[in-house]
Amino acid sequence: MHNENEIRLQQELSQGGEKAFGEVFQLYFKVLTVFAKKFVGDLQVAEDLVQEVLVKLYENRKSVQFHTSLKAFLFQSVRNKCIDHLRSVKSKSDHHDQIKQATQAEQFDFGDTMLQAELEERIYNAINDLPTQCQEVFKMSRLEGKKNQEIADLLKISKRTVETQISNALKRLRKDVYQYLKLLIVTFLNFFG
Amino acid sequence: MKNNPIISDHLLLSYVKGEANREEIRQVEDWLALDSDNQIALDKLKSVWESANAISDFDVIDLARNWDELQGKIRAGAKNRFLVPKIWRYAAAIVLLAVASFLILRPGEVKMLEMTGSISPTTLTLADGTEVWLKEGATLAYPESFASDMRAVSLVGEAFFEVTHNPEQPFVVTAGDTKTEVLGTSFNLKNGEGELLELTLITGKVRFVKGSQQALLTPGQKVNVNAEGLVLKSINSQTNFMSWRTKKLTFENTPMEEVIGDISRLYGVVLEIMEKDFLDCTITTTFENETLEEVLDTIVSFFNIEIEQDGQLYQLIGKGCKS
Repeated sequence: MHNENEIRLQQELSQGGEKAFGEVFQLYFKVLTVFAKKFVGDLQVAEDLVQEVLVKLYENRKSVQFHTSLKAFLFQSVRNKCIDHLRSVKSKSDHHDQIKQATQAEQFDFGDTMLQAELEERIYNAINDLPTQCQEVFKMSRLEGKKNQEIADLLKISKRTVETQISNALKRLRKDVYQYLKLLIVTFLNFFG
Repeated sequence: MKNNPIISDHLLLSYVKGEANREEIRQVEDWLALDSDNQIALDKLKSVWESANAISDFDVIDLARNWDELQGKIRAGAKNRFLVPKIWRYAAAIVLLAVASFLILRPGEVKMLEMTGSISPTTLTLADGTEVWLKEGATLAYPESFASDMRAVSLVGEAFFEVTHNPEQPFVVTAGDTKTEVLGTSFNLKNGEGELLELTLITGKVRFVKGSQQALLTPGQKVNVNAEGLVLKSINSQTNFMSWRTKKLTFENTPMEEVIGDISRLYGVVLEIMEKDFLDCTITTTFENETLEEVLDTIVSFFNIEIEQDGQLYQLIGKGCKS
């Protein structure tokens, strides 16, 4: 599914397609930003860097060569942009910690980092697809760290319902996301949270 | 994953979150021991649960705001593209204005591609690295790859070329019934209805041919083809003829009569001076990458005049320096 769409987008882009560029933005901006954030640590900085990569894509859309695929090209470009940024941060900084962190980020494995970002996107999409209460309960539990009883009290539902809802969310995740899991990634997970 | 009825998600999750009590931990570990698949199932759950933290980032990213910022950057970038490129890469620069209303192809020509300029000057890089800036409405016909003996293209409209130096392979631009042979240079070519052919050489050398007439140009010279088809060589004195590409207007004690002509051409509007005296007033200033509004504001403040606008027509009212 992704492949046919990508090929169409590549073709339309190289013909100068403005609409295609808009589609590329909608499809990839978030995942590219989350990916960039793993290198640079800050969401705003990540957004700016991805914007700049896309601006350059727009300006050169008619002459760009996608040797592999549009997606790979985008991720590569964003990574390169992040590395440049990290180098610039290092050269301007006199904070030892900042320099150390930047150096480590530069070493991140491209493939693993990209897979992780894509996994996170799938999780996001799966949760976003859930019915309202299920989604709310899951987010309160996972993102806000609330205990099941707390959630039950806040939403005025039973604790049992909360547990069921979380279980439903996990079922959805198993269905939509598990096939993309790569267990080797587990250890890498919480570097930038 | 096996749907093992003995263990609940709730229990597994407690274990993963480190909230399980001793009894619960024992239950989970018993379950894990039953089947190696169970350990895999637990690891997957842990992986997904921990990765789910990123959801908040996805939620926070505002696509609309980012799109607006991106558009802003694209617009800002479009302005800068008009700056003069690095000429050191090329042997020379010339400007060529030509008249022709149709493209001429040599018989048996290879398949030619076409590119037409849009509102912002369109850049095109040819197979040999030559760069072409096409003004609005200009069309260039060029092959995907050049023949070995010659690099041939055809043009209708106005364009600026920076030709990669290659004496073995002359670069020839056909415009109407004229041919400009570039001896390692960059040049501007303009083609218009009822206009005269004009070739201006900035740097390098160019041989201009029309029928039996030939002219060899050196920098600062220009060639005009008049209505009778006569080729006339002269010196280029028009400072702002490249403004469409550089977006820069330079005036040095320039009379307003000339100033309004240059501004009109660059911005595609009509400026009219209502008082005859004002025509002779001079101005010394440079406008770079400015909007028409900014330029007109400057003129108004210089001369203390008024400007009345009617669509594309701007009337400059007042005696200016003579008041």
